[in-house]
Amino acid sequence: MAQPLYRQYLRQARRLASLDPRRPQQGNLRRAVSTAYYALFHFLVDQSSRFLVGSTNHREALRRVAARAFQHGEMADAAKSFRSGTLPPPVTRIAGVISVSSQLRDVTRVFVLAQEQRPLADCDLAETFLRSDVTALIGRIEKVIENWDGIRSDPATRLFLLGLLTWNRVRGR
Amino acid sequence: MTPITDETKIARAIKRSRQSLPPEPKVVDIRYKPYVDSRGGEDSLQVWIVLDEGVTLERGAGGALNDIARLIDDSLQSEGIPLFPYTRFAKKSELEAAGIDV
Repeated sequence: MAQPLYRQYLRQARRLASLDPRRPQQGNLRRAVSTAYYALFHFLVDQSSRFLVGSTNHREALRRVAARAFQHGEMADAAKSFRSGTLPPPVTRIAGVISVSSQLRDVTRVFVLAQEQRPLADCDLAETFLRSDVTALIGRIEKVIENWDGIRSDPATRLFLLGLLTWNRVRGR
Repeated sequence: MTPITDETKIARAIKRSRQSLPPEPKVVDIRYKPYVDSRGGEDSLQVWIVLDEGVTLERGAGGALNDIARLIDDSLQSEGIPLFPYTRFAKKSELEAAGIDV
């Protein structure tokens, strides 16, 4: 059975970041950053789709349709809100005051960081990437994914998974 | 531009973070500068954690790195600084070789 896409991407990112032991090539480091971001992006989209649509096999087609609706910017907006630990009043008025765990805040922080670096890695030739920094990003992403099971059922995590798809329409009303 | 009062608070938060760092990986410096993010043009901070030259970031090191990033973020927020800290990791030799001035 094939590994989930996010796992394949993480392995690929690790391999790219470890090439050229003495003098890392920017092309490999840049692709590693972009691939690591998409590992986390696809992981979160998968988790959110499973939460919103259902995780049974016969709902796979529906999950794939839902996955097309996620927008990078809106996901980052949701992540920034949860990172602060203070959710906007229109949300807390309905959902109540929800405690955001430090592990979920780790997820949001790494997601925003990775998303910021992804277009720089793909398009900005003025940016130089460093092996330690790229390896750190990959390791941080691996860790938040590894820790996910521990926070999966938290109320804040569930709201975050909903917010990844809806944040800009629910936070301001 | 970051107001002077905020600069003082940021410096205090970073100083407090330096004093609370975990023993591993060995950090030799924390540097920071104002940053504007590329997506929304929001004022932010770029924070560079300068690692000891002997540090090797083995698989599994991500937890400690997330702890450091959390420490900095929490220190900033406790000072009332809402800026998002883009926390990066490097060795001094890498920053110098790449000409990255922080």
